[in-house]
Amino acid sequence: MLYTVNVKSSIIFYMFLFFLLMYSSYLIYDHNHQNMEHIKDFGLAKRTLSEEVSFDSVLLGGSNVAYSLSAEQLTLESNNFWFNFGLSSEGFKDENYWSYIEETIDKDKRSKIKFAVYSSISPFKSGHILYRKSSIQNIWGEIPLSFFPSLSLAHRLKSFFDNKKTLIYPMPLLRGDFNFKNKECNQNYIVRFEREMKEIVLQEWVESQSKDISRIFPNAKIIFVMPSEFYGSKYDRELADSMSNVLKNIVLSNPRLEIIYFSQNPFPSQKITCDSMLHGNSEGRQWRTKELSQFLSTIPK
Amino acid sequence: MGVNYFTYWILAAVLIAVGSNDILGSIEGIFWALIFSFVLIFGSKNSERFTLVAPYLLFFTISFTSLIGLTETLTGSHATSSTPMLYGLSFYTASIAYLHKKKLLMLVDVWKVSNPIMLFTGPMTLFIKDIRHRGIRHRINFYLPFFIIGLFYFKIIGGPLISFMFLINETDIVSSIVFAIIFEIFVYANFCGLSLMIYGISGIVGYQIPLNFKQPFSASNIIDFWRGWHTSLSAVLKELFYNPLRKKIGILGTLIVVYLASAMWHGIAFNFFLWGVFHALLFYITILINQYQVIWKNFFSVSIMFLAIIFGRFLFADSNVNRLIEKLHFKFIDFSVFEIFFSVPKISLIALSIGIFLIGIEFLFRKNHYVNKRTYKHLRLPISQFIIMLLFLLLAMSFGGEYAIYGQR
Repeated sequence: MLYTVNVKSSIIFYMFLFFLLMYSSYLIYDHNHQNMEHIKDFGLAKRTLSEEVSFDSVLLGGSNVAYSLSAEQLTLESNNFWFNFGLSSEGFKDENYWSYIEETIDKDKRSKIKFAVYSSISPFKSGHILYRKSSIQNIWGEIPLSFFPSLSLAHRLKSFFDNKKTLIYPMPLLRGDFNFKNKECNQNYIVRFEREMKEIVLQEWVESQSKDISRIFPNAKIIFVMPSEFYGSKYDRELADSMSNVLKNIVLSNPRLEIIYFSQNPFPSQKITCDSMLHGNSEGRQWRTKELSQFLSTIPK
Repeated sequence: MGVNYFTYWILAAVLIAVGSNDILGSIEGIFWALIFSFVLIFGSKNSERFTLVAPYLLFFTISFTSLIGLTETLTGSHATSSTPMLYGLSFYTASIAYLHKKKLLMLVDVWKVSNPIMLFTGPMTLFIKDIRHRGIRHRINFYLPFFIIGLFYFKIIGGPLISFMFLINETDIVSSIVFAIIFEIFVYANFCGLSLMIYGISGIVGYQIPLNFKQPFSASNIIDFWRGWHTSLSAVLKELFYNPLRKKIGILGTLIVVYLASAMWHGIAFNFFLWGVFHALLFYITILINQYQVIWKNFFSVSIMFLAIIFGRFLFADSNVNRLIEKLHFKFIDFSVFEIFFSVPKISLIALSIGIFLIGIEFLFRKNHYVNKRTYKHLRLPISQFIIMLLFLLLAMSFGGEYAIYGQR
């Protein structure tokens, strides 16, 4: 019979209360020790720097922009003054990121922006757009006190015994560029090729992002850029082209979307990447920025 | 001691609304589910001319909305209802159809079939038994372990497996099979986990609902497997299709109708059609094996069961027709898919290992007296509960993938 029960099993209830207490204590500990300060410092430093330098064009997006596009180089190679607003994980949620940009650049300055280059890896990961939509993280990746911790207890214990240091973002350079000076790039990462292939998801994403960008930068030319990446033999050109064509069609078939679409070529070698297939090192950054710069020069003023 | 059912319904609505990312959307969905349930029950009870067809019209309502694009197919890859108005439609229509067919439908059932916690997570409300007369301590002792197991399945095993979902894009045979296996574990952990949680919560509150999963992997053949998987849907299919048709059109025809009806309930898609026919055939072959004392009967039955589960999931999971056809070319490239095990987060690998381990126990120890009752008794033992709670404490983290794959639609 299903409904037979050993009443002596009250022990499970007391065990449950004990673990509930332990778990609640850990949740509070975890909430107060999320170790996202380096990401916060990096974002706040960009905010401060952006108040100190003048710019009329912006680079927007996540760590692919922070690592592998250079505002300094674009400023030298064009007639515009650029600033790099690439943040770790693109602020973990689209709303977070656009709020950060609005709070960082005042309205007057935003209305004078001529070019807004937006480069995101969201379409490069299956399910990532929906994941970001439901994310509860704040702009620095911290999560509010909730039912689940940001890091598992096992992870913290392992890091404690391994004495492992987390990836630290160095302070950015003058125009918000990544500082590779003391950075040791790891090229020993595992490569995995994937794409978001749900057209409806891509369409909603493009429309929503372009709406936000044109609202924030009302007079800017908006350029949607698909970032460079390195997959070696795992690169599936057919799938990549297929998604790229879907995105291109979304942009072209909707006259309300006043955006320019540009898909960057994959990095030619793993040697010019840093920590991930989507991040260039200083050389990779130079290579990718050059390609973008050449494309920008073809856009009529 | 216990709350009355209406209070439970309200508590369930609050829990679902607060727990979801879209509070207003959830409230809207719950509201419409309640209204539509009422209208459908009222309509069914008052249209005697349609008594015979009413259950079928109700059951296939979701197929119609799927056909015209109002609801998505239910492959397990996505869940969010794109039309809040049709929130939980597949579940309450099937429940009403069942009750109508059994001539048990009453207007008051509107509260039963539209229970938000059930619509959100999946088990169909075929019956709700008031067990408030049993003491609260007694209920906690019995139902709390179900909740703990369910939470563990849903959060610790199911959630982290989301990291493997990109494999759906791979079309070579090895990757497709690896994906099918992982996806099967994901669906089981997610759906069974939520069903057990709801079973536990409802029981503690004072209401016994159907146990939607009964250790399906403790089965020795595919017939037995379906006695443990999504049992509430199986009961509806049996009542609506199997029982009325079996003597009229024979067993094979009936099985094809039953599985195609099940397929259509999940959505109108090519892959579901293939899945339905495939399962019906394997089910029928298993019946023949049992009837005709085939040598190595057990071996064949078990092999067919795993073929049905894995290849069935292979077909079921992908409603992208072009990609599925490409997969069905069974193209072999290499074994490089196993390299992904180095690229996914460790927590996902741990989840996969625990999932395989627990399913392994369900299957390999299916004759053990703790396992053979198929009520997760082996996991309800104090020592198992201790290990489960300890693992939960160690492994729980915010990861994503915490959505009800079978609910909402």
